[in-house]
Amino acid sequence: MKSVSELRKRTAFIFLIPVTIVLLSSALYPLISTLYLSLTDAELENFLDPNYVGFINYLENYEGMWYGVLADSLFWNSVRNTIVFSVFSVSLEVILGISFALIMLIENKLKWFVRAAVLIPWAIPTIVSARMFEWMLQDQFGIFNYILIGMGIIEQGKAWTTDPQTSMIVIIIIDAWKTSPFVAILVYAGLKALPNEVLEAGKVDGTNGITQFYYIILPLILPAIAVAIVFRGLDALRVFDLIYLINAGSKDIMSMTVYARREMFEYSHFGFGAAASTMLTLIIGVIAVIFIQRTRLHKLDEME
Amino acid sequence: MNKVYDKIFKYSLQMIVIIFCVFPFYYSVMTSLEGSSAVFEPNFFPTEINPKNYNYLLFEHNFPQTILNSLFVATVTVSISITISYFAAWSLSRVNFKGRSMFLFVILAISMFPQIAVLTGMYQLFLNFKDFYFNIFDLRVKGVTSLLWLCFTYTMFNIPFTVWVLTTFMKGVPKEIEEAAIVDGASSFLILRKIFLPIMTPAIFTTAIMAMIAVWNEFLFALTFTATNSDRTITVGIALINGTIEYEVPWGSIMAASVIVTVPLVIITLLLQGRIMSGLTAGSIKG
Repeated sequence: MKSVSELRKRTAFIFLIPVTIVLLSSALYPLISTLYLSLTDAELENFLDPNYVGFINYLENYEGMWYGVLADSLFWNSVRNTIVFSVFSVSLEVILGISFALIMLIENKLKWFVRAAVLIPWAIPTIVSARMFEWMLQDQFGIFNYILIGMGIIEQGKAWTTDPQTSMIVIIIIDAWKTSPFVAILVYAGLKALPNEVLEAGKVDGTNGITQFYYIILPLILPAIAVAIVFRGLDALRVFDLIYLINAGSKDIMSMTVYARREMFEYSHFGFGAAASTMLTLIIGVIAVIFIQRTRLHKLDEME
Repeated sequence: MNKVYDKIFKYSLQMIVIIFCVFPFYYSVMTSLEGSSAVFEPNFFPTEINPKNYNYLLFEHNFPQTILNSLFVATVTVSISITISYFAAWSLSRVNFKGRSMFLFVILAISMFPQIAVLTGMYQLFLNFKDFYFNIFDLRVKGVTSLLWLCFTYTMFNIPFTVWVLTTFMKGVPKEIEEAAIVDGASSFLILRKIFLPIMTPAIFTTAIMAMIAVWNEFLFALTFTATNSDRTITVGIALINGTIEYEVPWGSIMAASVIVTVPLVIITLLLQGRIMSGLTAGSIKG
């Protein structure tokens, strides 16, 4: 007769079969076929039956000129944009998130309202937040320009979202608005998990509140912040919606995902687009591995 | 005196956070309620209440169809992924076997995958799926193809998340509860149904809501796999609301559409505030 634990193990494996099938077909198969397609001349006409062409989608020297994703300055431009976006938006989100979390800790009548308000931006679809901000920042009738003109800061309404100089800033602000709450909730949970004495210690000496926070509380919630940075960072590196919606046509602020998708579905260069996606995955993969190693997220069981 | 200042200071900090988070939403609700002329006069409080934008969207536009489409996709996707994940979560949280943390790590890695990495492969699969589907079913129902495909891809992308969150929740259930049943010789299936299901119902519900919000908000796949007015989901629907004249953006209608799709989410989120917070942290902190 089999022991109970043997039986449980067998059941456990059976229960894991559906998930495994889904993961293999969702992640592995399309990933491999994308990899293969990046080595083909796939276009709209021969998409289901493309020819193998080797690495020319990545890099090719043809009559002294370089072609391919790696030789495309627009691709490197999109890499730069994505990194700029990720670094600035995640930094802003961490700063805002920590501040929000500390404010969420204040115990008074407004406490419930603060915690409720913080979840609202998180629940709103990206398309909606993009449109809301576009409308508030609109050049002729937007409330933001109206306030600025009223305060005498500018004389004429400015087209914040379409001006290439400001559109990246706008996108970073919208992203920070939408996702700081997520960081705030993680940090808040981290703060809540601290022993009461630690939080009290910060309150005793009111004048030195910031110093206390910096030297006592911050080191203790660093793991929660690290997790938030990993999650948000990896999310920011694959950004698509916001950049596509705010300034779809502009090459200046295109992200890597927007670049790859444009090659595929606007120019029907499926092979080339697949090569761009593969490069993107590689870049994100390398960054992810460095991040996860540094934050020791991979030692899951030890974190319990 | 110092105490009064301290109080005022704390209240103002809280007000800043509340206004920062709520103002854009408030402003779009206000814009959506104004008629065409009032929309184009910036103000902080509505000068008139006019249902024009809502009437247009609900009765003259195909917007109700996109809501139904999104509801359909979200319901199918969430039911399937929660069911599959519930069983997997038991295996990953209550049973010790070699490679368990490896399995969890792979799931985490997949959930962080850039979707674009699989998009080309997915699109090729989609074209094959379409061929296959058209050959089997009557062409009259072909409008559903894209929606069924969206259910399929969303299920795949939701599963890492739902497995992860449910596993974390299930780890929190005390061992003793299960042990009594094991001693009595109950099968794992019975334990999952009779013992875990009642305890886990709130957690399952929270996870389902969060998965539903993720599906409701998805844009990249929806944009890629839907092509006609009849099979669009809400995100693509809103993105495509345009004026009849170029350069004239119908802000009133766009804001009304935004309010229609956002209000249910905001209400659910406010009602389940505490649960969603614990769900979000379960999805990240412990792993």
